Amino acid sequence: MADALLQVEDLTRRFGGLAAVDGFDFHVNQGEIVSLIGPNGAGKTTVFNVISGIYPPTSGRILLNGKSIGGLKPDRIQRQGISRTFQTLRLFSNMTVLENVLVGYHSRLHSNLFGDIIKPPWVTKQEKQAISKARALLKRLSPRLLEQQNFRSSDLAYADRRLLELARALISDPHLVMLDEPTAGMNPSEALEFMEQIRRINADGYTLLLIEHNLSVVMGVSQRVVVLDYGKKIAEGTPPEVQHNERVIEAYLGRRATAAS
Amino acid sequence: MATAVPVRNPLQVWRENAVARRLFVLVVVIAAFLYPILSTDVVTIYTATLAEVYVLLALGLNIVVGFAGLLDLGYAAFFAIGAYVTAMLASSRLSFGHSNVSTFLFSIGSNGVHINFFLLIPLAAVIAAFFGILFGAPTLRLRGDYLAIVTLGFGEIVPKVIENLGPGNSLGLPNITNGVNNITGIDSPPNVNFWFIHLNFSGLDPRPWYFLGLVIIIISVAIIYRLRNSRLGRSWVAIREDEIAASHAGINITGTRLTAFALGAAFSGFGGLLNASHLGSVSYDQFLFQVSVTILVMVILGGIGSIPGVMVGGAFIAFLNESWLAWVGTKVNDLGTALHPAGGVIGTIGAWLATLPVESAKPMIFGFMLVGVMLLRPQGLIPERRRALEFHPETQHELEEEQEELYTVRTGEI
Amino acid sequence: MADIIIAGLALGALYAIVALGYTMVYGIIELINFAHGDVFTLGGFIAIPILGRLINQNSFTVSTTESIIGIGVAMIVAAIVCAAVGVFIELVAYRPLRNAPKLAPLITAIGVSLILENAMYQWQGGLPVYAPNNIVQTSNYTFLGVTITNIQILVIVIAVLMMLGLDFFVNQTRLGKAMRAVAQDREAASMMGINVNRIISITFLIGSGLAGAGAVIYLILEGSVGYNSGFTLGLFAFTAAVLGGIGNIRGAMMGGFLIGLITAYVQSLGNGGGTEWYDVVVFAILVLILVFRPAGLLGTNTTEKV
Repeated sequence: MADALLQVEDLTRRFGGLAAVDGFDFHVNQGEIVSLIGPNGAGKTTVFNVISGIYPPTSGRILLNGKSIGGLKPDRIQRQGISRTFQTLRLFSNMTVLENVLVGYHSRLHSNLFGDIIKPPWVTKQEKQAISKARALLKRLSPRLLEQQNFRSSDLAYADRRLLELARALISDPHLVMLDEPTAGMNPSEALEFMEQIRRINADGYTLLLIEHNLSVVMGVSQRVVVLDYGKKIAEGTPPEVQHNERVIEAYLGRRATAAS
Repeated sequence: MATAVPVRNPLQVWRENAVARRLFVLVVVIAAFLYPILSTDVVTIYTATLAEVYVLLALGLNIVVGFAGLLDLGYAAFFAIGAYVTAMLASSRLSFGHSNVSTFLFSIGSNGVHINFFLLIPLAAVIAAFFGILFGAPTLRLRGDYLAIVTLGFGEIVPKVIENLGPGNSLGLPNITNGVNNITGIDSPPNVNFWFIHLNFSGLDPRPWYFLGLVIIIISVAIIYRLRNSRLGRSWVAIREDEIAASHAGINITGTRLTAFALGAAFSGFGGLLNASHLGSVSYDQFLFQVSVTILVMVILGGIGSIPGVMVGGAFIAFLNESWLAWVGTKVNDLGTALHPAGGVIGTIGAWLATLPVESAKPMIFGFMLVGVMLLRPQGLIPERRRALEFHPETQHELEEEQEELYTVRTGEI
Repeated sequence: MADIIIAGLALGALYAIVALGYTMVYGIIELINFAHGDVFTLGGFIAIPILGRLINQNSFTVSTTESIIGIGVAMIVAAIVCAAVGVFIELVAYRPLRNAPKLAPLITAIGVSLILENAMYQWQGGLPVYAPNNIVQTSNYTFLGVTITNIQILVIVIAVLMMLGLDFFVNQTRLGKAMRAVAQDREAASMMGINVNRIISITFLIGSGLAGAGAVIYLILEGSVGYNSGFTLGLFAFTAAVLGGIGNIRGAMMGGFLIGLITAYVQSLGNGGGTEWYDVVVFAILVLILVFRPAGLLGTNTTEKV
């Protein structure tokens, strides 16, 4: 599609001889929630890592609003408008909840060394606005988070920490938010609550790309699902379409299962 | 506000009360200024002046190690650069030609290069900062321990290079640093006669130096507090905590790291300038690895990342280094001599104490301090505000109060 | 040139032995053991009286048997003492910080190094202490126009034997396999039933023991040892370990010889000028490797999983 927000064309990423991602094509449209699924080791996180700039693509293109961003460093990609969360949850443990979110706003704040030292009125005004915005975002996601705004982030409950990582990703008003297994380690009710959050954020206008293993979350929240196996796309479509796709079932359960059915 | 907190230790109560804190700082500053006026103990004032240099160095290293989490084991290199820049630009070292060009700001010519001290302050800082970037650049992709070793390498290279670029050096270069012959005759600041302030730097009185150092420290501390509570300060903590998450939040890791090195080096440059000018001479062996270690001990002991902490650490180690250890040494030896005549066990202990070289055990004492702090109280004497939480969960309340104050807009906040 | 090469190899053998200790410890707990060089110094001080006692200092010649016994016993005793000290240091100073942020054990290691070095200073004074005059009866061999002393041969042979022994141990024995497992993935190794603490202790034991033995070789080559000999040597040996690829035993060996050759070469330059600059050169090499090829020559690039 010509007007996709994120366009990934023939993306390949090799590590030595192994192609973790192999000729992968997909796109995400403005306002969508797209999920990337696939069995373990399919290359999903590698796709994220290439898009977010941790690794350059070995070949292929990544376009954000038509602009090529392949090979840029993570901080530049964030400034272009893609933010993400991590499978392993990477918060700044020794900072408060509020500070964690404020760091996410780093690229939208403008100051230089002298501004930081002398603190002219426009710098302090910026900071104030950033704090209000951060607080508003925390409140929107969960009043509980706002209450704990001055708590050390590592003291929070697990589900709240995941939510906080989300807040940090959202505050910069990104064009695209990539969530890498956001419900990993959550119990079913927490995962359900998180699903609600995802829907609400999407309703607010954020475009989301998810990696998820929890298939009920995937099916419940996504408009489109893309399935990856051994680095290649094996299916794409709406949740029901993908659910009944033989190749997908085969990939997850192995050939014998389909043969038996 | 959070619900009531069970146990409150004095440090927490302290942190909660912003007014009390400001008052305390004001009292301390006034006392610091009054001290040399009221005291006649010239020796202590002199030691205090040396301590001021140590404190500046500790503050600088704190930016690199404490704020940004980059372990620099060769920090004395920047101290050396600040000192030698001063030495070469404010003495007769670099003399050339047969006549002098003299202005208010500088004079150049056969008498050497003499730049006005107050112009040297920013100059030394800028040059040191430049070297901070130069030495920091190769370390950009390195983690903790490798970074430490590389900085240690630079810390070894700089004094060696200084030593080797003297007269008759093996590279066939002209005499730049005067090598093992040191550089002496470094200028003092011009005398200040302004309003009620009369400072004569050319005599033996340490007081003018003390005041100068105090002013430099106060300005430095103000700058560092501003930095810590800014976007830049946050980005330093972020890269310290998790570099990958930080870069994904839009933080330019390279720039943030280099800025930390540059600023850390700049304060070391101030320290070098002050020291060189005060002592009147510089020698390459003032900047060896032991010095880098000593500054590290100040930061670790005082409280890594904590501005008041490293100042206390710096002052404490300075006095320990320059006078207390020697004093303790003589007292121990005296005790030994007193015990010695008594027979038996006490006499043997006395004999041992009488000749115990306490002062020479300084590295061992520092070593025990480092190991002890790391094993028993890693946050140091005065913990950094953020790290304090790690070890005392009941300090949440105190942090909240500080947070409010931190983010409420007030100019001149401390 | 040839004698520079020989001298470099002999020196390199020394660096290699010390480098082995650094590389083993780093491989297993990712810690640069700053105190390693100072443990080495201790070995030297322990060895001197032993050599003095066992080898007749009053005659003009030294019998080969005496040399062998003297050196052998000195190496064993020094190795044992250093091994014990190394294990003790790990137990007391590093183990409690096994799970602390990386900065902590590194700072502690510096502290331990300071303590050890000053202890040596207090014990033996600030001046170098000389090894006994008679250790080995020197004899020269000329081979294809190159002169090499038996000492140099001895040193190189001992170092190579040590490396071979260590290499065999690490790659062919069960204990060695356990060490490699712990080096690769501590958690997984412990889940396989390996006593991680014991393995780490053994690593320190071997590394420090080697340093102690290496100190005897240092004495034979250099003739004296001072309270701070170990520190600079340690840095050079660490550079060697990094050059070869930290964590890699063969790399440490190779790196050691390379640094030895480079040092010998630079020292020979410029009519004595080289002696001023050789340490700057080595540190510059250290910086360059860590910047451009941190994995070293034989190491593998490990990338962090995101």
